[in-house]
Amino acid sequence: MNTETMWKPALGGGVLLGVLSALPVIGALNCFCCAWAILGGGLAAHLYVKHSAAAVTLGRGALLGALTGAVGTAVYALFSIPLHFLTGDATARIAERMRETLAGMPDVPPETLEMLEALTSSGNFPALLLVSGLAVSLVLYCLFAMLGGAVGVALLEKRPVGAPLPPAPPPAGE
Amino acid sequence: MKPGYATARILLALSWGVVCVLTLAAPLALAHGRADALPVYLGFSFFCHQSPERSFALAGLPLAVCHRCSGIYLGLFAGSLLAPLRFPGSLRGRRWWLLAAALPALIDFALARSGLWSGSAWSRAFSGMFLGYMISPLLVRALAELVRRRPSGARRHGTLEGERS
Repeated sequence: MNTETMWKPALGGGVLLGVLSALPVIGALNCFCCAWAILGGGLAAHLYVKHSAAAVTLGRGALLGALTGAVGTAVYALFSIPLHFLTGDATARIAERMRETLAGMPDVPPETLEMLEALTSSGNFPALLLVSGLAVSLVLYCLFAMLGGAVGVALLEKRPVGAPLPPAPPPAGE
Repeated sequence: MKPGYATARILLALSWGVVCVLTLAAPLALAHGRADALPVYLGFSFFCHQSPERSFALAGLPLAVCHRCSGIYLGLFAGSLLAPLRFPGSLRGRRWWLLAAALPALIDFALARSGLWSGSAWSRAFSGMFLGYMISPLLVRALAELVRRRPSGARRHGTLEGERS
């Protein structure tokens, strides 16, 4: 199996990762150890193992997971940007939460609170939120989906070490 | 050490190290009134509840992630560098290994949710660290296979080659 055949399972896992992470309530399940990234990597590993003629190695699983993470980040961006506009108050809620969190801390310098106020009330805040979210997402999705891919192969690949390839099916019409 | 393992360990330690440094640097930067900290907090807010009462504090401010996430990231970082590369060869062994790795975190979480035990900062951090540390050999092995870049024909197709040799 070559690298080109990895794209289809990576796309499957990446779409699962990206769509579920972008959904408002369901996406919060990422707080459980990046659950959607691990599941996305695991799904990609499952699809790859199922269609692979030879036993799949852990390395392949990890590479597949990393691809899934990258695809998932792109899908997440595609879905979260329109969702961001549809649920316009999401940005305001995040800003409010940050303000409340910082206001409840005794050691925050006043200039930091002023800085936060200026930042959240500026027009650039939604863009900053999106860019910072995507930057951290790319790193964490790739790492955790890589883990999911490796775990998926470790749990789903049952064929023994060095098992011979099954014979190719005879050409149609013979 | 087999070829590729040292490189894999370094690459993974660097990756998880960057994540750990970011979570630690955010409160320090914020305490010094630097705006750079806010995107870090915002970025991690998609992956962690960031509840201040459930996060370690540095310079009087919470880290960018909670106790358990801090433990997981630190465990993955430490495991990438230090964990022995032993991993069960059999499918059943691997399943038990992964279950055992996750069990302390699952028990801590379940007890807290059921209200039987509220847990502590250290129980959350150590159960997360145990999970990260125990799972890291899998990633090191996987990445080492990629780093070695042997031709596919010569590759032994074992999912966990190495522990049998």
